[in-house]
Amino acid sequence: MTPTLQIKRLSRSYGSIRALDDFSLRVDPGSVYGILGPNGSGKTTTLSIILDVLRADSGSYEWFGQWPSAGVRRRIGSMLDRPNFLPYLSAVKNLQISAEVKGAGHSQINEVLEIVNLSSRKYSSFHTYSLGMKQRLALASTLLGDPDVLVLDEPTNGLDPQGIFDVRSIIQKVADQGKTIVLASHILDEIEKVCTHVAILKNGKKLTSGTTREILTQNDTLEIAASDFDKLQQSLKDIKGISDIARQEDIIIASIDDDVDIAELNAALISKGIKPHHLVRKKQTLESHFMEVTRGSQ
Amino acid sequence: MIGKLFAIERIKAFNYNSFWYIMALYSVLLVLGYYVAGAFGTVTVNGEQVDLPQFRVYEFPMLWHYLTYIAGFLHYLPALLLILLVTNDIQFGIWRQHVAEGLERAHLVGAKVLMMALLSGYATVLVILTGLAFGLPGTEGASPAMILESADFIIGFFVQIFAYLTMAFVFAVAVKKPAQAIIMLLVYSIVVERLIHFFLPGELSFFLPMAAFSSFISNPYMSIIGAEVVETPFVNSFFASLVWIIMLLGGIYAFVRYKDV
Repeated sequence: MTPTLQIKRLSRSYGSIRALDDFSLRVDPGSVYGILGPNGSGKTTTLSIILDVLRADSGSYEWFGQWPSAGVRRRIGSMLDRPNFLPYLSAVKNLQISAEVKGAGHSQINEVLEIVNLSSRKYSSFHTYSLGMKQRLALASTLLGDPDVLVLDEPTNGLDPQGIFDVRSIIQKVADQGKTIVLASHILDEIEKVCTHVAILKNGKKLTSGTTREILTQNDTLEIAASDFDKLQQSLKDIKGISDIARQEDIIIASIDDDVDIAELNAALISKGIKPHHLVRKKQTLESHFMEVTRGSQ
Repeated sequence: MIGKLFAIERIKAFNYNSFWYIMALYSVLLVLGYYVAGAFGTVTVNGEQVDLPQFRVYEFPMLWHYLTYIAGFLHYLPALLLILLVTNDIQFGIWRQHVAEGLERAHLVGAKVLMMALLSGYATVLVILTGLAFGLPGTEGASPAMILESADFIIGFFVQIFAYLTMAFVFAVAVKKPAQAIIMLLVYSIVVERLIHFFLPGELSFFLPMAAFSSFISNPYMSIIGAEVVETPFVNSFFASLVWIIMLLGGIYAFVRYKDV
């Protein structure tokens, strides 16, 4: 299968700062790929390079198995790090410019403004918009021309909770149509809720990547406590699917596999004469994994 | 592609209030400036107006020389407008968005060259219409031959204003901020290039950009005060300006091509 996007060993520096370091990534058709990392990790640099806005110092990338060209970029709906519109123009006029660039015609403009809920303000100048409205207009612009791929840099930046929900719904709707989405964000919750795949970046380096499920289900944590700690610790060692058992003050922390049922575990311990007074399975969130991964890189 | 680029620039410019204000100001000042210049063609002696034969500002064929020379003082207004349009695109990330959405970097430059041609074309048409409006009633027995006799000034005017706009484009792309770009354009053309003149032999000075552009249209008033005026052959001015235009636009393209947008 030809990947939608193949990035090979991209690097880019700003003076002495290495913003992107030997970064590679493969994005397959239909996936929603999240690039996650703290501020300054190289997310925007990556997206700017694959949209030809920035020049890479080394490395290459391909879209749809082709050498990147302007024609290829017209198949991509792109939302850069900030909404780029002329402040004196209305939403309609700004979108007319985008439509001309993409060769999309003007007939879709009302439709995309409706999708992002900006129809009532479509003739207002862009400079009168709130940050959230500007973000939504940028999202509307990406939808013009029915692109095969969306590249979105921090799409919910500056939005209120309702705006975040709306934008995520739009992204989900586009993803459900089988389109590929590459999404950069520093918001873990966003990646967790929207993305099928995730790559974690820090200081320009890729720390890990894979399906969001793979990363999310790694190392779920078991917290357990009972009056007889030694017996509890020994019994846990005999149970399949429990590993990395460690005692922390008056609690035992361990890794627990997906297929271990917590009720069955409780029953098994009781049958061995252990009565846990604290038993919690903590799903490893992307946040905790992210912190773990990024801490490990320091 | 030209149609697409023109459509994009048309939306940006025609919906920009400053575009209309500056072009209206340019049009009014050009016509008014030419009208006022005609006042130098007469002197009042004992309450009677006497024509100075050398100052027949409204008569063909000399009209084109006077008119294009006077209009040349206003080149800074379209240059200001071009700087605003270019720096708007850079400052508000419009060039970035255009590239991301599927324009080649050459198209960014090409679109502004179209705008430069549009502004230069408008200024030239305005000069022609103003010349005809003043010249036909002001010239006894005006004939097509008389009207066209010095028409090379009109061609020179078009190339000259296009070349000035190319310089403005250079400063807009290099500086990226409108106020600084305008100041640098003024400082270069009024101060820096004149200073360079002092250190260069006279013949070489002609090859400086502003000198080459200005050489199309000499000062028609100088001969009246007895100053010796050396007219540069049209073809020399044309090719010197053309070479500068090509070099400057090539430099802009190289800058946009190899730098981040």
